[in-house]
Amino acid sequence: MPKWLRMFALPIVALSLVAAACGSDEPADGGTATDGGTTAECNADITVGVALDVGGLGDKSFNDAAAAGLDQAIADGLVCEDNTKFVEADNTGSNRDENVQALADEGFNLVVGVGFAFSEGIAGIAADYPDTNFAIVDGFANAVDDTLTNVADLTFKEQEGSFLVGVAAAQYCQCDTIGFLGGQTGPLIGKFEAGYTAGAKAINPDINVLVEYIGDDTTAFVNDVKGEALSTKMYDQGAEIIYHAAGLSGAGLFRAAVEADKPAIGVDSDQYLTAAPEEQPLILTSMLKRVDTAVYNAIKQTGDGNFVTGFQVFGLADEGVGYSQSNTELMTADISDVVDGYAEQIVAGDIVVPEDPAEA
Amino acid sequence: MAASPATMPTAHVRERPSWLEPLLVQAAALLLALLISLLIGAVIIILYGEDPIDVYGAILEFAFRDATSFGTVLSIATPLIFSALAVAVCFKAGLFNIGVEGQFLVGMVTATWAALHLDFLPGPLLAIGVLVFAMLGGMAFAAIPAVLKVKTGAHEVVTTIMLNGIAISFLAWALNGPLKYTAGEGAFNVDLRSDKFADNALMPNIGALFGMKSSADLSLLLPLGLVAAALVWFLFKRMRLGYEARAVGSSPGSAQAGGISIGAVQIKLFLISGALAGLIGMQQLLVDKGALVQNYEAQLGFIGIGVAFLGQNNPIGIVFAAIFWGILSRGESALQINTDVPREFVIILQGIFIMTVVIVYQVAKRWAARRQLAREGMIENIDGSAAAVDIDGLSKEDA
Repeated sequence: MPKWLRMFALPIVALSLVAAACGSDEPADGGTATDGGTTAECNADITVGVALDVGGLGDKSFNDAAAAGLDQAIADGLVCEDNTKFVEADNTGSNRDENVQALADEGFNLVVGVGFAFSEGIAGIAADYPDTNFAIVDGFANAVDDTLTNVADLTFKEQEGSFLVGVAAAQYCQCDTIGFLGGQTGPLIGKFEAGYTAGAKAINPDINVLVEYIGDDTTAFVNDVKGEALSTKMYDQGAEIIYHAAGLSGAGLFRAAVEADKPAIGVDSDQYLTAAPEEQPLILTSMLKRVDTAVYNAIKQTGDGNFVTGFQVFGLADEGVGYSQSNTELMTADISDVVDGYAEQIVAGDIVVPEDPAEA
Repeated sequence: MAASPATMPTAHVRERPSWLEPLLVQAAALLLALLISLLIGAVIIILYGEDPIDVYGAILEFAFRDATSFGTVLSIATPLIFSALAVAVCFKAGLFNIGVEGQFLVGMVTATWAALHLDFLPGPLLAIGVLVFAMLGGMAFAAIPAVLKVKTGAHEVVTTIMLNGIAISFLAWALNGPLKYTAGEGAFNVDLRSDKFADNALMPNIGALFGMKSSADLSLLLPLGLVAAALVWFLFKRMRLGYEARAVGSSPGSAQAGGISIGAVQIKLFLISGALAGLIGMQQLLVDKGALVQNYEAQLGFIGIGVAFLGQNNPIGIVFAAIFWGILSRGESALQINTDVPREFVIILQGIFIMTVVIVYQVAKRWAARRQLAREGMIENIDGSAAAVDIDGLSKEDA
């Protein structure tokens, strides 16, 4: 259903809702609500606009990781809080390009697009704003237009981080069947699947990895209902643990995990820290994709005047990916020792993790 | 639409020509609706603790501050013009085509196929070929519910909604199969997509003519949309099919008695609607992206229903409604950058606008009809007609 149709049916409810909501303090803007930013010393020379993808602030995953990078930069005084702005995409992401263009129009020095879907739009816009730095998380704008001089594509070796949680999954469960819940089909999430499968097979070559994808478009990352259904299905089929790379839809996996009383693995940020109390004990680990590090670096470079454009790849060796160990109940030293052993081999180049699920 | 002018000799009573009054009533109704919506919106903004002038000002500033801004508004409006026209064409004959969304997706698939496989066509012929295939795709997919409706009586709302789901899967299948990139080595693999189209398949950017930056994405599709609106207007005002459609829409029984083949009219309108729907995706395909991508902009077919409502299914009204919708959509960015009002306010405002326009139009229409009745009653009263006295008495009670 389109959004206006929903409002069409509920104008009066909307009125009363807004009336009720005006008491609470801008819940949609939580990311910038860190106090004290104005009193600390900060670099007032630069302005940073962050265009978020579908899901927006509060997705406890990808967008929040980018927001964390900006928050850290604010905390470190690289930019003043008043000089930053978050802009969320609408529910279908149709206004990504307009948001980026609007930020560039407003004269922000650095415009960050959070998500690969920004690539095309920024590739088309960047040349019109030569004095603006553009950074795209997971981007590929420089492949769309190789003449760009002001765009950085921040990419990650997700397969390496996923390999580590795959090792952790197989090592923890000592079982024959595990699961993978992907968001949108395609090569990007394929890297997560490939690494996870390869990691699990490094421990148990005969392990069976069940794979489910939520959908074919970006709304697959905001469909927690389907995420829960597919997760329950995999648990029912014998998966002892499931790893998700599905953004906000991953909330469905955690609910299914509680229902099945079986563990799950989070993605992008340390989801153990943000999960509900009943879900927390079941989250073995999370694949960390240091979107925050990448965003932080882009802000720092902009402030220092040495913004690096082109493709920038953050791997295990650059601490661009990793895994979390917050859940000490499940993630015992025995397991993390094994995982760390594999991590060393990857950094040393002894193991090359595949990007394509067909090769895993 | 407004009640047909009286056939009685009333010209000496009225100074205004008979066609002007309904038009004036419509314009006044629209203005009133706009005013009411803005007032309701202002109440919400005030409840949120912001200044309505600031918020509306931010929206207007983002739409009109320079040529590029307005060009962006127009490029948002372009697909909505096609979408709303597609909805309106069917609606005139009482058909509710919810399947515009699906027809637009299928149109994108056929257009992509044409752009990739008809590349032997020289110069602008390729672009024209792509547009034709987009329309053919939309028509083919619209033919299914049309035939089902006429042959089996299956209601078009049910069939088109279900066909929308099929269209989404069809597009996904096409992108994963026959249309999947072949040359996309390296970084392009991050996103499932078709190969890039040849440059002569794309729509020329006309923004530069008006001093806009190329990122405004204003293309030849906008004038094409205006031409489409003019053609739809012509169809309903000047062509036999349009007359028949209106007859079927207002009273199928008498239309049939008058010798109109209802089924034939419905199928023809569905095909025209499908052709228009096929063009919805061209803005993103041939201007924004230059390829069919996995993250295509969806829902445009549904938004068209709202825009058609706003424009009261009138082609000229639709053009303005689409531009208006574009201003509001761009306002989502404006609100987030320049105010503390959440972007969802725009969605609320869009809903309020549609509601108010529909309600105010209905009220205005009844008011105009009653005025007409009252006037006729008065004249007949002089003549001493018994029926007329009744009508006069009724309208006095109502007033």
